[in-house]
Amino acid sequence: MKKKWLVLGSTVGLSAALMVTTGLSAMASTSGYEAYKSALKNSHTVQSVTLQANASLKDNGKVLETADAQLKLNLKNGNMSGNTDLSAGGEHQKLSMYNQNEQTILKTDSSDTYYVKQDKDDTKAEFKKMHHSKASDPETSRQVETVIDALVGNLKDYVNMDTASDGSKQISLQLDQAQLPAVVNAIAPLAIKEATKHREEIQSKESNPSAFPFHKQFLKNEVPQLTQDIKIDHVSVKANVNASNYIQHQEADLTVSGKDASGAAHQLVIHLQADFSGFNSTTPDTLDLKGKKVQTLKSNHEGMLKADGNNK
Amino acid sequence: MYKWTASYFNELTLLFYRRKVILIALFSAALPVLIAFALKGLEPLLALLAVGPSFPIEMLSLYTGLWIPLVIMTLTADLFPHEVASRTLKLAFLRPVTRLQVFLSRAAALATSVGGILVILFITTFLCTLFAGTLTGFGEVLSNLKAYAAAFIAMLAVSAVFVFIAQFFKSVSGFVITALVLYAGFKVAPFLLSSFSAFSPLNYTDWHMLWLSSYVRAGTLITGTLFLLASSVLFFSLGYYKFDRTQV
Amino acid sequence: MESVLKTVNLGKRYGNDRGIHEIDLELHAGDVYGLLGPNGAGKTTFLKAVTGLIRYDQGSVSLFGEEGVVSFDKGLEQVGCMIESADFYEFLTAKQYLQSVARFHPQVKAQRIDDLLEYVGLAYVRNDKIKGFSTGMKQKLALAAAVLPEPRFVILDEPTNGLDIEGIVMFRKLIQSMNEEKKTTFLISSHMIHELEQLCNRVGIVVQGRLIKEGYVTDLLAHNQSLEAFYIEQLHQHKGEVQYV
Repeated sequence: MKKKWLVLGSTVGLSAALMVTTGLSAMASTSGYEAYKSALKNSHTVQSVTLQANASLKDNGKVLETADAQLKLNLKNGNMSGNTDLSAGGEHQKLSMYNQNEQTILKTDSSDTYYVKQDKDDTKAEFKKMHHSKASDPETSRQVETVIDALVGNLKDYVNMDTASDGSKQISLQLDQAQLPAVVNAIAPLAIKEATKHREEIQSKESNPSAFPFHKQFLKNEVPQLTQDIKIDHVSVKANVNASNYIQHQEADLTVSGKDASGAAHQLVIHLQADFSGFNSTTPDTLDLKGKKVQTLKSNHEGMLKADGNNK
Repeated sequence: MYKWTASYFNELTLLFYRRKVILIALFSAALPVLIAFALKGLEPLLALLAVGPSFPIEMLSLYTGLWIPLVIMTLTADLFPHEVASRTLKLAFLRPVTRLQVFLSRAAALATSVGGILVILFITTFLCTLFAGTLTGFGEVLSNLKAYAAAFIAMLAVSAVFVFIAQFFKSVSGFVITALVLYAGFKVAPFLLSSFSAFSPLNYTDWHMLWLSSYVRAGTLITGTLFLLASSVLFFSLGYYKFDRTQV
Repeated sequence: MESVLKTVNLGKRYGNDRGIHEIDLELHAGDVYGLLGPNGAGKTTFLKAVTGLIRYDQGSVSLFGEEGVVSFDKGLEQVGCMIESADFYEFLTAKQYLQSVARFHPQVKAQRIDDLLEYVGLAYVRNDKIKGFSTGMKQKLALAAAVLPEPRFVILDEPTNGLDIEGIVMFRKLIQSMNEEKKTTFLISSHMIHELEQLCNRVGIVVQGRLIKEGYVTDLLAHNQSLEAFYIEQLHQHKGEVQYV
């Protein structure tokens, strides 16, 4: 009789101890995910940064589009300078951008006109408020974080981390279709179908000669329209976090496959890459508009930019 | 030894004499086929591939998240509170077996049923991908098999928790309502408290996904397996403690 | 003579101060023991305590020399029971139920199940679900299940409840033949005192959880015309005691 209770008691004790130990270690092993979160939060506090970004889209191995950007950002006052270079189907578009003294200035390489848009006071205020509220309300952000953690669930363990001797970390995540949550697999195809749809209507508006000569749509027309059997084949995310816990390098690959209306199979690979440097020591370039050809832009209801038509 | 096998085999046949169990088995086999046809019908609208290579895993997630816990709840209710309510528990106690044997045979019969559902699901979804022509290869099947085995361990832990809870109830409805509320509560709790899920055996229902990736460290998988096995042992032991003290 | 059942100072107290107290009883091989007593006297509690269905909190129980609590499972190998009401898994058929009992007794041949169903008069419903059975039919099935493995000791709690006349005759014959041919020991709790008078060699009277009187039927009847008269006399005596204490 005694022996029976002894056996049962020790079974309960041992299994409870093992449960606590493994539970604690399961909590600790999500460190890759936690490290990334911490780096992301820390990188958000940065005052200024230089960003070098690159994106490309391939269809069945053929490069459709590439985009490069160099940006200098001051997140405290909202000032920014930089240029982007887009190429698609042999067509090139270079664009320089500045954000200074409450105005946004855009200029394409193809013309020497500077397009200026006056920032509304409230947008500026909103920007500041947003930037502040994030930092000043840790309670809300902590709740949001808990919800995200819960949604991610056990998939946290997909995130891998290698720590180098200098304290920098390499964090990576690799997912095949089967490893994606079923909800993502169910909704993503529809989202991708919508995203690759060509919008002729907008296209025609954009070609309005008085509009700002920059076609966002020209990118889209290169993309094949997927309509069926769409699935995400692979997702890969990598990040390098430096010793002072800033994200230095971030890259992501997304492989999507599907068929277009004619039944031809496509495999699209989207590659995004961003390098951050000059943490808290970047100063955006400023532009002197004196003696330059300037055109004022107003934003219409759809949020698109249109030239006013009046030269200043 | 013959008492163990007799007791286990007896509990298993008793389960299968229930019409309910046969219906559960049939439904478990039919559901993936129905979903496959439904998705096929919605294919132009949703733009997705109805029965893709990940179909067996998506169905598995659906089963481990919802269907199998419901089945475990139903069978546990039948094996414990219902037997108290209908005064049939004494029939088992009057057989020449110990209560430990009765308890473990029932737990084993429950585990066998869960395993049975997983086998049915594996075969059905395998056939679905075979017919849809999206079966990519033997490696895929092997990797799915691993995920199914992992899901079985997670479901074993869920069974242990439900069997433990069942010992506190003398009526089916009381147990089922409590179990449902508790299961829902365990699923919501991580949204309020981050560290909760690390210590809850009911929150490993999507755990099999980790076994599909070659990038997940072996340590993580071993820790998870040990955690689930330890909690199964713990809750079955606690359940047995209560069961052993039952008076009928 | 071999001891089949032995209880020493057996006690089980329920919250409402009912239960059984200090019961000493020993059954030997070949005894047919009748347990008499008013409703709620503790007869069923006693039978549950000796089969391990409930935990007693005083004294000890031995079945075939095996002390209970440690291993009721061993003792129960040679015991057939029918305790309290005849309850079954209602989704089984009569035959399926007996098969499930037989699983624990490898010596039982398949033929015996059919023979027994024939004997107790349930052959015609052998493949019917128990759900549709009447009280008497369930009682017959419970009896068949209790004697199926040809146990050396059979415990029956109110076995004649709901039995028809034919069934009562069958029941009496079954017990007599098992007792005569195989020296099977019986412990029967019943209110059918005339039936017990015919069947039993010993009786005991339980009142308010205590065994107030027990002995061989032949001895007890030496001074009384019938068991019934003896029982009523004992009951009155006991009540008198209680009243004046």
